[in-house]
Amino acid sequence: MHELSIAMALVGQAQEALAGRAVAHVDRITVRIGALSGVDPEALSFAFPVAAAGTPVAGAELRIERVDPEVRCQACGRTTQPKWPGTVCAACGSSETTLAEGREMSLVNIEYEEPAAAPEEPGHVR
Amino acid sequence: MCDRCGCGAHDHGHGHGHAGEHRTLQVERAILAHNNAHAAENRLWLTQRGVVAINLISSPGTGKTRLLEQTLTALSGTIGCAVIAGDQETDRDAQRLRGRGAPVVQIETGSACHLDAVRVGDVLREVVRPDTRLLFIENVGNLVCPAAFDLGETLKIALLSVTEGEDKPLKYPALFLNASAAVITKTDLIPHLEWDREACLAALRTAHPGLRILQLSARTGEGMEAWLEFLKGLAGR
Repeated sequence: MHELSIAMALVGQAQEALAGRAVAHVDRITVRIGALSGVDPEALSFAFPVAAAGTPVAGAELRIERVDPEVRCQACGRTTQPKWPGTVCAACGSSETTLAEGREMSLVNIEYEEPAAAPEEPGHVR
Repeated sequence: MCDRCGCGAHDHGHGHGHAGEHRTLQVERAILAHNNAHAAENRLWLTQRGVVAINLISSPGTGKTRLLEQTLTALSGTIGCAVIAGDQETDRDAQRLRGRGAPVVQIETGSACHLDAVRVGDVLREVVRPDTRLLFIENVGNLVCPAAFDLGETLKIALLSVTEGEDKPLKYPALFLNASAAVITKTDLIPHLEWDREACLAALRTAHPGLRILQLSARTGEGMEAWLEFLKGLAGR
């Protein structure tokens, strides 16, 4: 259950990214998780509210974009989704491939609401 | 009218300010950026000292400690070795590994199921000596979690014992894909098991085509020579 560590790191990253901004409430955090990142999306969804509790991102929704593995073939040059399990090129069957996608574990964006501007007093000159 | 605050709006959040602008902040940053930065520091520090760091990852009970016991004894006096042993509790592994010519530091991770780059970085200066060429990092026994955390190692080695069956590489592909080599351990037990060597090798090659595979028994010594040669090669000897 290292997803709790991942969730805590995510909360830390989000707080760092938001530092210096006026934030009333964080609505949603979007992350990208590759199938070969070693992170279980369900476990991360479960751990996130626990890690976020008591922080400025508490109550935010976690949106997870899953990324399927893709390999780039050195033999035929194409990029394909390999037949899983394995990293064999789906186009030509070569195993001389490198993983192009699937290891992602990144914070994509943060949707938040700014505090409302203080109501202007009548006659107030800026 | 909003029934919570009495204002004229219908669609604003509550308990957190009032009808502010909604914004999207693009970040595009690794979730583990903090760990990765420490891993990069560790890697640089180790590289500058000519130390090859090996992150050993396997299930509990695969025989990491037993293999290290035999390895340290065999390399003592020829290649400077050091060990960081990670476990959730106890320093039993460190006790077993001491007295074999290599400094050993135990990290107790508590509830954490993996080592991270910060904890490893904290003990590097303690465990690495001027003559250290190989640093073994015995990760917490777990096939899933340690694979996600870069420690700043030179390479990851996945261990798999014959008692675990043949298909672990297909069930836990992230580790085997990221490993530079796999070691099949406890081969002395094969006669007692219905373990299919070809099926296991095929599973490893499916998960990671071209993966370097070693097979050994630390108990009988079978295959240990090839393992030690592999390590000497890493250490540039």
